[in-house]
Amino acid sequence: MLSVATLVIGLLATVIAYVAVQTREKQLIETQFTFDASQRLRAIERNVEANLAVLESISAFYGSSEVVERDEFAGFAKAMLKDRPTIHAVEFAPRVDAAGRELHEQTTQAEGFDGYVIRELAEDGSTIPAGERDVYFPVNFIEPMPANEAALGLDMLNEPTRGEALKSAVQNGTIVGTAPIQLVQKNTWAFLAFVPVYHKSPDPPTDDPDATPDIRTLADAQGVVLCVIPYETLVADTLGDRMGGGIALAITDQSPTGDDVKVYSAAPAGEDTASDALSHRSRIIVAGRRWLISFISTNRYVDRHRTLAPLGSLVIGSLVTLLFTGLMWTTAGRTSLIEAIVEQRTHELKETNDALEREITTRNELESELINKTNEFQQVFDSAPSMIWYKAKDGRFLMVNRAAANAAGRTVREMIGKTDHDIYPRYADQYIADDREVMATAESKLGIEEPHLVSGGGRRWVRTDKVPFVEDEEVIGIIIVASDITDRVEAEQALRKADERLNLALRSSGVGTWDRHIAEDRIVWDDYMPPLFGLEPGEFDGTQDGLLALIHPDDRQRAADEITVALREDIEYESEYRVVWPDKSVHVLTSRGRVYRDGVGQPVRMTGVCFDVTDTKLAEQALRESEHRFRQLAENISEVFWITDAEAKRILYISPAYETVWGRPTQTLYDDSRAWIDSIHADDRQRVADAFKNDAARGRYDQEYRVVRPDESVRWVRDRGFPVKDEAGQVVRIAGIAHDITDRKRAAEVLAKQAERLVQTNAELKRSNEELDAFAYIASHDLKEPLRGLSHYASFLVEDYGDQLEGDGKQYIASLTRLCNRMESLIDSLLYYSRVGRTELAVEPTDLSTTVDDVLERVRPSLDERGVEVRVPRPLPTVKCDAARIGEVFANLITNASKYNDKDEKWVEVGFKSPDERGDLGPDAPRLNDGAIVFYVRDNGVGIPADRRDKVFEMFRRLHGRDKFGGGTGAGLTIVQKIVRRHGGDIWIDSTEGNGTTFYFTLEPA
Amino acid sequence: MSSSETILLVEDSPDDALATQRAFKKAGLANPIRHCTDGDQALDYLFRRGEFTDAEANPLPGLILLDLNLPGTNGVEVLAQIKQDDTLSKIPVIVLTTSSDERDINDCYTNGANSYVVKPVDFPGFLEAIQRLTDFWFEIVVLPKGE
Repeated sequence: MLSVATLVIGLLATVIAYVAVQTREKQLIETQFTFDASQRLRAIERNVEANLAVLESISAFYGSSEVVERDEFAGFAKAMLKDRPTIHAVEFAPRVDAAGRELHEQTTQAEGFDGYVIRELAEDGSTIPAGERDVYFPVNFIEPMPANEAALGLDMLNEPTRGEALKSAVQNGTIVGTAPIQLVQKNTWAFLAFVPVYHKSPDPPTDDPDATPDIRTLADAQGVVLCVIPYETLVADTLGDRMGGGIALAITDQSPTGDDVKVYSAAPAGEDTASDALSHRSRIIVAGRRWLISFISTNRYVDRHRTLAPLGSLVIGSLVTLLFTGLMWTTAGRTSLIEAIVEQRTHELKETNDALEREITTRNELESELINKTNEFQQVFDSAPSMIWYKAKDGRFLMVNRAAANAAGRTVREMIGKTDHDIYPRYADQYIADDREVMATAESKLGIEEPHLVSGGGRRWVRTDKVPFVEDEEVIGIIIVASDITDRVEAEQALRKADERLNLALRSSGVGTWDRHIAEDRIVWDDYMPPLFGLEPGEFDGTQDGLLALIHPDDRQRAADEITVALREDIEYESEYRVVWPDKSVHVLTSRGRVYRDGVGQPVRMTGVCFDVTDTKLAEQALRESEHRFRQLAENISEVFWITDAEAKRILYISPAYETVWGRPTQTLYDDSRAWIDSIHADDRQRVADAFKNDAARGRYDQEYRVVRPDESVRWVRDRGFPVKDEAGQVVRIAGIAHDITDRKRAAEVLAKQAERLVQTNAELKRSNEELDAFAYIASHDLKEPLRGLSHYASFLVEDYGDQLEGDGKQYIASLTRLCNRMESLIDSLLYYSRVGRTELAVEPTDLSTTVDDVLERVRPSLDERGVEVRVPRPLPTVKCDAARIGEVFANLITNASKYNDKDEKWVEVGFKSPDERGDLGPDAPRLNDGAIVFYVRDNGVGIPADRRDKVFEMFRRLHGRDKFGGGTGAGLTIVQKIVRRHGGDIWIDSTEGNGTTFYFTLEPA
Repeated sequence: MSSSETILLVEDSPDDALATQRAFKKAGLANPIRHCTDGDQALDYLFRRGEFTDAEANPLPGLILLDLNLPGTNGVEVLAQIKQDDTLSKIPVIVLTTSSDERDINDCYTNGANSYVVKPVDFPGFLEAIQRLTDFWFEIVVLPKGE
């Protein structure tokens, strides 16, 4: 009986244990599922927030700029969208009212968007030009533009879904999302989120006196910034590789009106959700929209998490019970029926043995199956991407999955039985402290973000969940699951750094904020305020009097009045005043703010910002002074100073001198810049217009042209222009100067005419000289022939009839012959003179010492005959000349000098003076070239009277009687002068009558 | 050159021609002198053209006295044509002229003149010049044989 009872109790206990273990396992799986779902939910929430923060940033960017240009928007948005694949596009839609629509469209077209018009959605989902409305919010800036062009110009206001969210965003000043929409650009569900950009100083809402100050109207908005987020992208971006994991996900947008739209639903590929699937639902608020997010497990999820523990306990429990019962049975039987069964004992024992053997075989089979199942479990356990540890209470690892072992660079087997100190010495204390806390409190500790060293991978960040393992209300161990979140942590760190930078920028921008509590007469400053007043934090006492005391005495009353007026009259507060710092320096501050009132219009608070504008003020003042100086200059010079815009379409400035030169009022030019080109002489107009177009922006415009005044008179103008560039090198202006060059032009014309006449005269002179030379040559020949005949016949007469002639007759014939000879020498001189003029000079460097030696040798007989001493004090230099001709010059001058001398001791000196030793060269000395060498031939002869000095060079001019001083043709000096002049030199005389003569002439050095 | 050989005098001035012939006589030269008054006539004589086709009556000269200043074809051109002809080029040509211009002198020597003499104005000087020339060309120089 005992054994029966044992069997019954044992089997009962086994069944109970099986049920208990199975229930426990189901609970564990459910916990795990809830945990997994929460993790996904959190990730989605976080990602949405991070993406919507982009909108805030862009809105803040607008808030900090006066005007945001397309390029600036694109640049900023691009930077913000980096690493934000969730956002399909960021756009800016300005507020455009009906009156401004045409200008808006033209402006955008001019920016390169041909055919741009404000559009709206048609019923079939295509876009058509928008109908007439009071106001539009057309999408104007888009980043990225490619793939999103379809949205350009689309009016956000007049489509109900978008319009509703847009209005709400503008009125509340917050980010507001739309109900789900089908994207124009992409055939998928998405939502748009709007954030308003207000005008810098919104007009007080006078048209709507009932509106509270916090409610803004569409008129207050400069535009809206919006982003497009497709739900599908959001999920894909958020969950990425973790998307499946046996969990299906659905997002439903729950409209306040009850219209639910399932905007996203996806299950892992090839997995079904069972009817008894686990599910988890959560609601989150995204940009004012309510989302229901459902997670449903798939079969695979449950399969993956189920263990063999329940089956194991059933099998093992049953076996143990059977064995135990069998033993009991045998023992009891022997006690009561010992004799009866003696004979059967061997048989029974044998049977029992057989049964036992069978049972043992069965048990072995079951054990090996159990081992197989355990391996399977370890495999499933190992396939989890997260690291999982199961630690005993004393901290030893009981189970570790492969991910954890791999990360530690160990095998699973190596890790079992070890502790954190063995495996993770660096962070063991921290890990163990958390473990102890969890085990002590028996409460899970989730989402611990901590460092984790990975073998070969350095330090990673993990998100760790620690769950106490409780059995019979006693903690027996701890389960730890950790997943790698390094990427996210690093992204957050980067974001934090960006925040710090922004903060730093705010601080360095020096903008402080203040908050005035009217009732308490208390002013609260933030940390950036005191430095604006030169104070340390805490030095300001927070009272109105304290504030006024800091303000410059001259501005104090006005500043106080301005605050009073703002409080009383409900206008935007803006005040500019000087403050005196403790160090006595004066700074200019601008303070702006607005007043908040209670229901009956009493001011409650006034808040605003304050910043230092000293530099701006100084710059403005400097600019004013500079402008003043410029105007003074420009308005008083006789030149016409002009400035146009970069395209030269508009005259920005023209100085008053324009009226003098052009004879037209400057206003005509301001009215229409084409008046300038019209004023140009028709013959010059095209040339000047082309030159201006091509050259002005490059700084090469420089033209002379005629201007026809209204009275038909013509002025010549020289006009130059050059570009004025900004810091980026863009041409922003073209400036220039034009001045009246009529007088110069006329002078130049006269000069040109004179020069032309001079050239003609020169040519005539040259021709006439040549003719003269040719004439002299021909005449000489032709003169000689009859002369020769005359002479010959005189000879024939003497030869043939000499004996018949009387004394006088013979004498006459002798005279005839002599005259003929003389005539011949005159003609020869003339001939030679003409030859000197006609033939080319053979100019080369010539040592004149040699030349003069040759000359002296040639004329030596006549010098000796006359008893003349020739002195050459120092060797003569080398010059560039025709040696033979200059030899003739020296020969002529030396002969002349020796000839006209009546002294007893006659001498002739031949020498030179280099440029630095010229000294006194006589009254007739001309202006000399710097390098010219002066040669001289000096004698102590008869000299030349002053009034005849200029005659000596005349042809055939003789100063002395024909036979005095040896006679001559009187052509020698003329020829000498011609030779010297042909060398580019000068020749002149210095002489005192009776006291010698010096002939000077110049030659260029070699 | 023998005293029987003809001398060709090309001279447009009858006065100079007279003086030249007188000078030859005074110098004791018995050679027959043929006188042409312009360049074209001289060329006709030398190339036996026109009235000078009879070789017997118009023998080639042993010496040519050539004035440069001629009407029509001038002296330098006559000289050039003489010196370009194989036969005539062997006859010595003495340029006898008024010009002492270097260019004229150069032109003549370039074109093959054998001598260049400037006519002196006075007859004694002229005579002396002729005398020296004839001394040189008739007594000293051995000329290549004619045909």
